[in-house]
Amino acid sequence: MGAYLIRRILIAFPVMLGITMISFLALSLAPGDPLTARLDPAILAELVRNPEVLEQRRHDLGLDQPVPVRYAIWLSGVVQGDFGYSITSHTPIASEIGKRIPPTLLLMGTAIVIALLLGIPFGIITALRQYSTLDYVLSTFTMLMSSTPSFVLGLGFIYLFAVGLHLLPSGGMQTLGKPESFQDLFMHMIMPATVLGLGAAAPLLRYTRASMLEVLGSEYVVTARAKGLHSRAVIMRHAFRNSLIPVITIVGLLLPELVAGAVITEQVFAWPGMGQLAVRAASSRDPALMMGVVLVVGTAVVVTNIVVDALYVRVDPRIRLGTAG
Amino acid sequence: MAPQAEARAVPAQIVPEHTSLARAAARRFLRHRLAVIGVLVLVAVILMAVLADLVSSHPFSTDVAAINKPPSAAHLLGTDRSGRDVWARLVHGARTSLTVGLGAVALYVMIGTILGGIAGMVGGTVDQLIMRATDTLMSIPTLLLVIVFVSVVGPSLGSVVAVIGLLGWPGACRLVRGQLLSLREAEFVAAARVVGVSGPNILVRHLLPNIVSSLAVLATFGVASAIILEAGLSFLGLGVGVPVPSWGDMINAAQSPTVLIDEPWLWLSPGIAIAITVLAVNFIGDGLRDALDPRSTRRG
Repeated sequence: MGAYLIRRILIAFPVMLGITMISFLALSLAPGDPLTARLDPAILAELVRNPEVLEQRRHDLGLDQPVPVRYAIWLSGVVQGDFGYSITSHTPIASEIGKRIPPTLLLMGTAIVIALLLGIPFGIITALRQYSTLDYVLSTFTMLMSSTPSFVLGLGFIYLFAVGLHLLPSGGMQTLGKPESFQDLFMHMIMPATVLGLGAAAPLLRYTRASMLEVLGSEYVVTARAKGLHSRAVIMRHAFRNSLIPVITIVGLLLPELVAGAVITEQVFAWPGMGQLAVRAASSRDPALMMGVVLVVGTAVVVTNIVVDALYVRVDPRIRLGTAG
Repeated sequence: MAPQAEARAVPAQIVPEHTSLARAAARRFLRHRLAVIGVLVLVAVILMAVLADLVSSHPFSTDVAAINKPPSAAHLLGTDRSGRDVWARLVHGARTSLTVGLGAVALYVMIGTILGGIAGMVGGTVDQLIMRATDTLMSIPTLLLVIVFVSVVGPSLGSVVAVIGLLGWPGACRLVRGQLLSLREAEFVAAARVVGVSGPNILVRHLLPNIVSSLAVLATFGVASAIILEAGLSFLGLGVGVPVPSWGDMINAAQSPTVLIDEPWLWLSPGIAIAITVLAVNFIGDGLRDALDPRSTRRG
């Protein structure tokens, strides 16, 4: 298992290099001069009369270098924790991203917990009661969930719970002018976390159900039943544990989708996280900020995938002992 | 396809076998009631999109006498803040959604099939390289990369189709490669090879037809995701760009609290339109999966 993990970690580095290189190349092809774009028009007019100064500035920032050299400059800065400055807010990108990581982690963590708490138990129940009313109701519900974009669901929630019933705040992380409190944060988090969690719960329920059905039909479950084992014991000891193995992979596969969902959910609920930052970077055409977001989000996803894989190896002895995969 | 019929490799003799299989699949599909409803809904949406100019006024034309009005006889679904007819924008938005859904998926199924075909047939280092690229693209949130690229090429209908199409292929690639690897060992392929059928011929005649049904299922669900993705991008203001009518862009207006609260007709109708269209496509995908792969477990 150690060797397997080390191999996975070693593969992760070229993967991240590849992603950042492609993004860097794409962003460097964007129209517009990254230097003149960040200058005051008055200063710019001055500079156009003195092109040497402009060239000097460009040289100082390494912008006259070819793209591969600029990528190397960016990379060596990142390694030292220097992500550069945002064009729009003129603040260091590292501190900007640092501020936004905790809200996003909080939102996504809660959403994952909601998705697991809804998806796995209901997936098992619907598998045990296949073709029951509950099964039909829930499969219709999951179909509806996976067909409704998160922003439509989110706006519906705001319309209903914030505007209509005045139960929950419509957006943000805390009430302005109020001291920070856990209760306030909790109230602000209910809607975005539920919207994001429901989106992930739907596919999770479907996979849990399918996986459980498959295990329930397998020979060892039939054997356990045949030898007279109590049906609850069969379900908990034999079926449930084995059906969870593929579900773990699904959680890993859902992660990129969850990140995408977070980008949109954060926008709908004005949640001050990484997703909002990504949208701002794109709509204000801030390449350095965009690169920072890509690097941080990409690394987080890749690392989480390695953790999921390690978990998978731990729970499945067939892989741990090297007889499969 | 039955191995015996394939082994003879005489098209004329395969045809009756093929049609009866197709008929059996069609029968299974028609039994899936929700899938049939899905087809009807989708046909209605397609007709709406194709005949958009006949069933509504121009999506850009403004009615100064009716600005920001709730649904009425003159404007079935009301008007927006520039006096544009919501119904007109909705039916023209269907065009955008379907163009992106079908265009992007056609593009990435093509790319995925070619790359997966190369990986599966050539093998070795080429296979390794293609599969690593696939893993990389799959492990990163597509939306993030799409946002990067759209921010570079600028929002437009063409760029959304191109970007989703160029980034969406890993699923199709993996599917084609996996199927090729298992089918390559199948007896009917060995038989065809023994009879002397050439490599490319085996690929086109014997392997690809067996992959098409799985690809069709993947593509159908892909269309649903692409429609949602386009709507999401347009909602974020990074989609097809401002004058082009898009359901996502129409909902974007509801980010302002006054629109959300006082003018729900502006965002409710496109929201429902997206949900119904995507639901219909998903039901069709479900039906196709059951119909084309008799071994798969039937969902409720």
